[in-house]
Amino acid sequence: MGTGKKRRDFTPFLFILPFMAFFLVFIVIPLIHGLLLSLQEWSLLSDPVFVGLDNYIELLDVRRFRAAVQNTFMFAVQSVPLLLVVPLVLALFLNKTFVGQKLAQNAIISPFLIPSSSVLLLWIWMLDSQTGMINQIFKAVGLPGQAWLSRQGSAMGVIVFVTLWWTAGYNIILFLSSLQDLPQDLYEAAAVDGASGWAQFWHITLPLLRNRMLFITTLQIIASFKLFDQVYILTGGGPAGSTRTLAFYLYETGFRDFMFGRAAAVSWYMFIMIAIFGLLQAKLLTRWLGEGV
Amino acid sequence: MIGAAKRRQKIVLSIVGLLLGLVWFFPILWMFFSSLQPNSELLIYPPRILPRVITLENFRTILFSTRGVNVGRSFLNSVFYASLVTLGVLVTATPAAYAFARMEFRGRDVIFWLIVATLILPVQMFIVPVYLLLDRLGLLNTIWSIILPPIGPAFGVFLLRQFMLTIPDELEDAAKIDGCSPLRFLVQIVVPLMRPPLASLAILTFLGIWNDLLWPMLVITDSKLLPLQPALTRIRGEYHGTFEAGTIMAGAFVAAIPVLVIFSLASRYIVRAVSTSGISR
Repeated sequence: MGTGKKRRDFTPFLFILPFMAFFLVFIVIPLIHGLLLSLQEWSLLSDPVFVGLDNYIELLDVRRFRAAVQNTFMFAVQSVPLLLVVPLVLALFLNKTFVGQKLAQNAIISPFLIPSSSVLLLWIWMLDSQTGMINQIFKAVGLPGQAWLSRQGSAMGVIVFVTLWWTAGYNIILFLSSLQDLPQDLYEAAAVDGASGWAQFWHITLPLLRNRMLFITTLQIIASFKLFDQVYILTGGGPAGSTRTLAFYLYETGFRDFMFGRAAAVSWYMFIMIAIFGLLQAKLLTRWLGEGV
Repeated sequence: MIGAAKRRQKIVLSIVGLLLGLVWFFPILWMFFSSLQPNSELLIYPPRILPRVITLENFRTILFSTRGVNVGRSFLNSVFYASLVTLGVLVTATPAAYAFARMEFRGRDVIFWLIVATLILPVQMFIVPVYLLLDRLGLLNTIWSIILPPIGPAFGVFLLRQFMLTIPDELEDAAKIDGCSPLRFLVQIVVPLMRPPLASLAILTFLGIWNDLLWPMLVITDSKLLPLQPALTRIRGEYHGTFEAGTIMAGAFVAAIPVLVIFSLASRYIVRAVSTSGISR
């Protein structure tokens, strides 16, 4: 029994060892290294120098960084509510039974699986100012065509729109799986009491979806801060820097200007903002939805 | 009377649903139809939705001409990378998840929740330091720079542990009495029981690597090693956006085909994979 016990102490260690090795090398060490980097000034030309919080302080004065924070914020403010409400409405619709439901569901969901470069090359073609389908449709109904991606007023809107079209399916799946788990007897009881469809939605469905909505909002906020592919392929941060997001600024700082210390500081700023934003929305949403429970 | 009204409602639902599906899916259809037409056909106004002339010329150009990038080769690279990462994640996450779910050891829960907490960190926090680490190890611009780092994140361990918590204790007790070693129990009993979550994890990991653009773009410069996503973005510099739109769409479609085929064959599994990825505690 004694030897058996000793062996049992050893086995869990062996079981977690392979994963922990990767976790240590690619998560823990980089995290610590990243923090140290953010306190150093380092471009490829010189050796790293410890500069304390200088990177963080200097960044506050960099116009591009401040614009990137603002642009990221603008994207989040537009895309998070849209990616919460539109998929919810679509999921409520797709949750009904009708002929062709499966087909409609797959058609709406499938874009989220397609890789970013395919999706974005497709939208560049759709939005082509000369022969793109969107402008052709505009022309057909007598509206002037637009240079969608090179106008400062519309570029970010296009990114929001394409992101909505592309990724709505993921949230629809999350909502549908929650909707299918809702207790049917609650609705039957409500119907007996004469509650209208709208009242049932407002007083039963919405409160029961609260956790799912919180979860999706959190995911969506994190996703906003990661916004990169759309910017890189559709606009390259332009026109006039109007779509330069934090993630794109980090890429430029680290891998075009090779200022690794400053790039690391940007990533820690991102983390701080996600944390603040996340806590704030959790509080607000809980308060707003909490009343319905 | 009620039956008739209900039936009418169902018909309206069907029409709205199918129209909505068609409109939503139209861009993808247009990608396909554009790729099948000679580039000159796409310049005609008003545009024809259904192709008048069908040709595979665009696919031949994109897959076999060596102009710019070799999309065919990059396609195979992506299949290879995504498969290896998936294998790596499954092999490392399964025993670790089992240990965290079913075995007793000191500090187990603290370690587990610390690991899980790292999941909320944005991937951008790791890009610079991991890049520098791979540089120091001399692994930049090798397949290892794509395959090794994605095995680090704790998502798989977290996902599998949640499911392994549900294995009945009796099963384990019976196996212990029979003198079954933990490793054998894991391989012969737990893994078959865990097939659905393992499949979900495999699908999500494969798609994640298949669709990744930023990381391979940073670490791979050798065009022979380039996976499909960064290869496609290079197409833009090589082909003209308006006058060679059909060819570009053929490239985009080549990258979309595998996921669309997998989705049409196994949409049930993908839907399940996504809903399990959303287990919020």
